[in-house]
Amino acid sequence: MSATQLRVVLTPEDFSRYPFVPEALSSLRELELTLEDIASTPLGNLILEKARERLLKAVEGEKLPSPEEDYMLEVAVFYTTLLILAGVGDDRLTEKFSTLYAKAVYEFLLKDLEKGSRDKLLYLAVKVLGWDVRPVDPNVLIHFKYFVSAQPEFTGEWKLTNRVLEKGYVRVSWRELARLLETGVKKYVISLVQRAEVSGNIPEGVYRVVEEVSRAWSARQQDIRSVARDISSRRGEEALPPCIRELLHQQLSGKNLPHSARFALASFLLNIGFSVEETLEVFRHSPDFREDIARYQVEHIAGLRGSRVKYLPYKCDNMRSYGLCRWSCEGVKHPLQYFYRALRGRRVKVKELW
Amino acid sequence: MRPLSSLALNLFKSYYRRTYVPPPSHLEKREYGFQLFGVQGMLRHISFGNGNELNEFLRSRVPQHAYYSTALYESPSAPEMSGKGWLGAELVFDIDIDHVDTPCKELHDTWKCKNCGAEGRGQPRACPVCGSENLERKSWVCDICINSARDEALKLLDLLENDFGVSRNEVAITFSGHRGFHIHVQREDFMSLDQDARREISDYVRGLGLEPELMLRRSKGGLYAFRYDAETPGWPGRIARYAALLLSERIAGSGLPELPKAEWEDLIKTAVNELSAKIDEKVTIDVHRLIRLPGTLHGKTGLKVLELTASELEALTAEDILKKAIVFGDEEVRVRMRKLPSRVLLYTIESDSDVVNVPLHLALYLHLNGGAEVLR
Repeated sequence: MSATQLRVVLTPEDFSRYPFVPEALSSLRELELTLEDIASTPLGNLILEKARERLLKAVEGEKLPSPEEDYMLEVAVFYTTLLILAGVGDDRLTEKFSTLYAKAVYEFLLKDLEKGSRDKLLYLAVKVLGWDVRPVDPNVLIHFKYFVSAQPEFTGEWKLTNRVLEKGYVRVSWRELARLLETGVKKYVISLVQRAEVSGNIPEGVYRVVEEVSRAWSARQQDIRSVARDISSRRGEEALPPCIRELLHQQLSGKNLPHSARFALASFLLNIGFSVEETLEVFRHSPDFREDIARYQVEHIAGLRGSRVKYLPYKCDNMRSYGLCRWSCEGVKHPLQYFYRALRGRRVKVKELW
Repeated sequence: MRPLSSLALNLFKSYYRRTYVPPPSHLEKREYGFQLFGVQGMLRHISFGNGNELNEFLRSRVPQHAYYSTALYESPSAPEMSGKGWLGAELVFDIDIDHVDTPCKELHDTWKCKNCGAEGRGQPRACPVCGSENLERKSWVCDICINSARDEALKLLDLLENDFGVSRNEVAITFSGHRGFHIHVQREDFMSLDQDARREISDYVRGLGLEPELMLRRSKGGLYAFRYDAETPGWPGRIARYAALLLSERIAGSGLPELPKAEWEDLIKTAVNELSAKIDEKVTIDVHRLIRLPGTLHGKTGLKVLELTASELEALTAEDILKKAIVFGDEEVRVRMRKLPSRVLLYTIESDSDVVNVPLHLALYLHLNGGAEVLR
């Protein structure tokens, strides 16, 4: 569907839920608010305080507060948050915030779907993200290049191989489109932070918030580093195959890993002797960590729940096909095999494939 | 340097003197890599401003192997990847029948186990004597190999066209000059695909990660029905059509029969194995890959890396393709080589002796790939 064919009337409520759409930004321009104002006027201070609150939540990995009902205020808070993120300049924090933010957007999209307003989803896909998406009752067709850039998983029903693909288009349900949009919005928000530029000096008041968020974030990173040190000192990181080492680093740096990656890492750690508590400690740094859900999943993998089977990590072939491994370890067909060889003091030749 | 080595160099020199290698698209944004005769290692991070500079290089340095990047860069000659400024990369597929069982491998491929010293013909995965995977292999190309590579390439073209919507005039096909074909998708809008996206595309054409369970529906009596019919696009329809063929005797009325789950799973696996394209996934996923430059010579065979259109690939036989790729004459040359392949290029060599008379282009191949000595 081309952008010109699509006419959607956005309400103030939409601007408040989706403040990243270009039309919302132009409403901010109408407000003629400058950075100096944010630092020095009462309204500005309110905006700054709300942005600060959101970012401190993101640092702790907690759910972000609901958007402001006054859409003008929401848009201002949203862009101020991005400016502060750009000031902090830490890709991992930006990723963390964007992940949490996009999850909230996903919830709103589902609500829109329940109300039958599919055009909101189309609007975000086509006008904001520039995707080639065509509604074909009762489904949606999306060009595969946008599908593969936003699919949340590389296994099961999400895997392209398991989809109906015709002449370049993947058939998806509206709910699936909402999930694809979650990833799309996350990447879009990251790109907004990367493009954010502040002309002139950052006013003192705003700068104080940048500093406070940076401090809180690096304190959080200290905790993470101590977990990493713990793993290294106990087992010796050299004993981990390159795929698991990479997943562990990404996990500890707060990257939002897909489900398959978390399964691979958790099952590996549990199999080399980590307890459920120790494994949970590693996952505590996920941008979307929720203790109850994570504990249930880790206990399940450990064989303490459900089928009572202790799961093994994927074998190497599957790790590669799920995009979790880009190496070839000589004579090794399973990540655990690498670990046991390394423990016996045998060196494994590793080649990077791509 | 042995006598034919200087002959090989001279033959390559004569080729580049008489040939203008057509510059690839976006020539100045690509990185080039070359391997020179008798020199270890590769000259990398080379760039050219125009087609004449590229041809001047080929004429003066006479490389044994010539490659160019599928990626475009702001500064292709920067020595570090991080300094090159990646702008995007073509979506490329490499069909290489090294991983396909062809009947001709017994006729020309040999191996020697580095562990126990056993040797033999064919291309076993591991040494049949001691089980080691550490084998020294020698492989050769013949018309039978090219035919099976061509079949794989045609399957890929079908997948690209019907599933991915890439029409046949949007692909450039290259015969690699050895055992396969390279398929370059010439779509600017695919240049920015990242590695995850390329892996999904590669897995799709290989049928990797396909879960039979997702295509089945539980029916009565513990039997399972296939969810899709032959009209469905993509893998489901492809599998349905294949199943209809295999099960034709058991189809009563319309639609596929209901079967036990295990039987469906086997059937789906067979279908995927038969219908998927055997590509080397590393080439598709790598966004910094160097690949053979069309129009240059393959340094192991002396054959031309040959550009073909999709309709040429369909219409030409393996013999036609080889004939087009042979650029040197057929004057008779006497060579000596141990373990001569019995089928190679278009020729069957039936000789108990290590010494044979062969056409010049074959002598060059036997020398480059098998160390044959030229006697006359």
